Amino acid sequence: MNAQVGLRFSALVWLGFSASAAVDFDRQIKPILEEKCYRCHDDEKVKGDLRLDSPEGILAGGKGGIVLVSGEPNKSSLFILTTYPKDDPDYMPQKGEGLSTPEQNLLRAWIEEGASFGKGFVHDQDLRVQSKFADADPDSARKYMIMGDALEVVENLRASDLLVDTVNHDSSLFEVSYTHADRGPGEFELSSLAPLKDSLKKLTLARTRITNEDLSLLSELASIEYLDLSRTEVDDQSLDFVSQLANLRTLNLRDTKITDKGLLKLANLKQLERVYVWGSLVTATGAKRLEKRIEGVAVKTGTSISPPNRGRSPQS
Amino acid sequence: MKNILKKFPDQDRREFLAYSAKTFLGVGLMPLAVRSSAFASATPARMPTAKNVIYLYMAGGMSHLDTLDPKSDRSVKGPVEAIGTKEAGIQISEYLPRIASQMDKLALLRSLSSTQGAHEEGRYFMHSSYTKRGTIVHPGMGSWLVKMDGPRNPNLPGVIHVGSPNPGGGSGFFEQKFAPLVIGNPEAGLQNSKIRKGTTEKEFEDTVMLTNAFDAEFHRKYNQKKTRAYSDMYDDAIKLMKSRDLAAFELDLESKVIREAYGNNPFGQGCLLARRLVEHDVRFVEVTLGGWDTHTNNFERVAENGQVLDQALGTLLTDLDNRGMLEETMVVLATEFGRTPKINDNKGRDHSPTAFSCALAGGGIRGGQVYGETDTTGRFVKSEKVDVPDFNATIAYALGMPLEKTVYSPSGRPFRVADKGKPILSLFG
Repeated sequence: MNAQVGLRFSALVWLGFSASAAVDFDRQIKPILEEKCYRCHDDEKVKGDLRLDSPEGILAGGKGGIVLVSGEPNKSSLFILTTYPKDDPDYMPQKGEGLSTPEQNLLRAWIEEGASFGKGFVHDQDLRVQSKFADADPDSARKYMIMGDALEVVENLRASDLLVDTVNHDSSLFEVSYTHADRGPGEFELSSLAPLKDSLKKLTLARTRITNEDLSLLSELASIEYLDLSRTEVDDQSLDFVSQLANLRTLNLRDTKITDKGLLKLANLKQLERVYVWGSLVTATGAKRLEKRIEGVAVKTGTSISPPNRGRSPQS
Repeated sequence: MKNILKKFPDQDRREFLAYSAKTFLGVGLMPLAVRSSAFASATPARMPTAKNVIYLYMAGGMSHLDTLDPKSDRSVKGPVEAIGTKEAGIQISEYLPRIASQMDKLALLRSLSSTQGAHEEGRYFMHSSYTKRGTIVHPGMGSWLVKMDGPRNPNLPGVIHVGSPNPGGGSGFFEQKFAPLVIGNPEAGLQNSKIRKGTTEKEFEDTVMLTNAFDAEFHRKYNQKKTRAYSDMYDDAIKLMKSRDLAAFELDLESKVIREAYGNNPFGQGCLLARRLVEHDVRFVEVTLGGWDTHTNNFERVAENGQVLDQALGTLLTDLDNRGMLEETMVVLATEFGRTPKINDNKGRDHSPTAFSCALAGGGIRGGQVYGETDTTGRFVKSEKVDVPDFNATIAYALGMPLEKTVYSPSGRPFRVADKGKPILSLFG
């Protein structure tokens, strides 16, 4: 007991000199943890799976992830949570007296200086890489970020008002949308998408002024799996080109001039799963005909929307 | 792909940051292979590809017992009967026949559980995944989406709320440009959005130029984020006024049949507006239907409200499916908590946050399923509990948002889109 008091005292005394001396874990930080944190985070009560009674425990973190990022006190919940207002649900410690301002300052300084546990203790892993919440995990970041040559291609396309996005945040797959690019007939230059090669998965031309001729370049973009031509002026002729997309799975032809005859041109697309034809000239018969030719495809002619039941509608 | 990604320049930290600034806002960590995360153990049968959300919020605490999770216990069910749906084995309340016929599109989650039993707190928790506290306001899902992923239509706001805005659903501590546009009455269109009669285009341009000239000095002196945000707002407003996309707000352009099918009430028309807005690439539209706080006269009021919901959601699902929009649009049906099995003296039901129901459709959700179960009274969750952050994590996951990305508020506090919620991967594919 007395020893603890003595240590605490000396910790406070050290404050006066803390400007020049590095913070010592054993003499200055450990006593704080002992007094304020061990109650819930020792080997008996491992609250949140977190043990703070040893350097290993502190480094390992708990249920919420790691609590210490060497050199970065603002990313270390070990420090940050002690600075919250006392009535905040995340405030630590949840039981007993909180850390005083000098104690918080000590803790911050210790982390800033590298969170050293003293001579003889070797960090056997780089804390930053371990962090579950780090923003710089090199491998996954690479997946999310468009890098290298792809970036230049994407930037060029974006400069011409096209929307270029990754598919589900996988930077090896792209989607391109022309919808808000305001191109006129003949101005689509689909070949400009060729540099994206196998990575182009989705192409949206909905509500644009695209023509059948513009689509003749589709054959160069054989990686496309999702094509949206809804509400455009294309007709059956365009499907000559669409039928060259061997990987096509989803095709939206809603509100176009496609007819039953045109629809059949898609019969060779064995990967096709869904075709939307509501508002086009395709009939139920034509839809069924294609469904017979391709296994597993659903040609959605749409369900009519019926008006409300008169009897039960409330007065609005 | 191999050609493009052959060169991986060794990015040092600065270049890395520069690239991130140029491409997406912030770095996400949700690649297809979520190896490094707690959810890495499983990936869904089919990756969801939701881009947009239509979020239908039932304000007041929708009684799950009289809607999506009917019970057979006599003392619990009151006068409500359960009906079969398009999916054999799934039954819902007789108040929702249209929704029943669309069950093949919906995933019912019957095991939602919240810790917040009061309206303000419950609504806040549902919208932001964090409990309400005095020190900071958290952003809602819509604002997170637009901040991380950007808007898809440069001329329209990325987030729009129809009806009253809900606590926890705003932009929180994010910049003003991620704040939702609020539309009180869907049938009124967008107010003050057209050039005043009698003013020519040229006159308008001149006025704008004059205003900018006056403001120029101010901006030069005080080029802070907030003043820039103010002028950005003006620029956006002007862009919107001149945009053809303004037509998205005009419900008159829809046929009478469609308008009637959604229901001649603000919620129904709001759902129609939502469909139009998402068709124009608005990313997140929330439509609120109030009146669910049925402490008194529960059954009559749920019947009435249920009819409005049934009409609107039933029509919305068909409409979206017809247009192929369910591929990329996720429909969410949510509320802040459920209601008690015990019927009180006023023929009402009181708050019960321990178990309630929500539903999801589209954007990769496999329809025709029920997730989770409550006990025979509907008071407690029996299996597969879904905490509110888990529910939101599921939506965020479908949208491809990085769940583990930590964003720091201006005061340095760390937050994530769905806090520590874990997505329910089995709902997809």
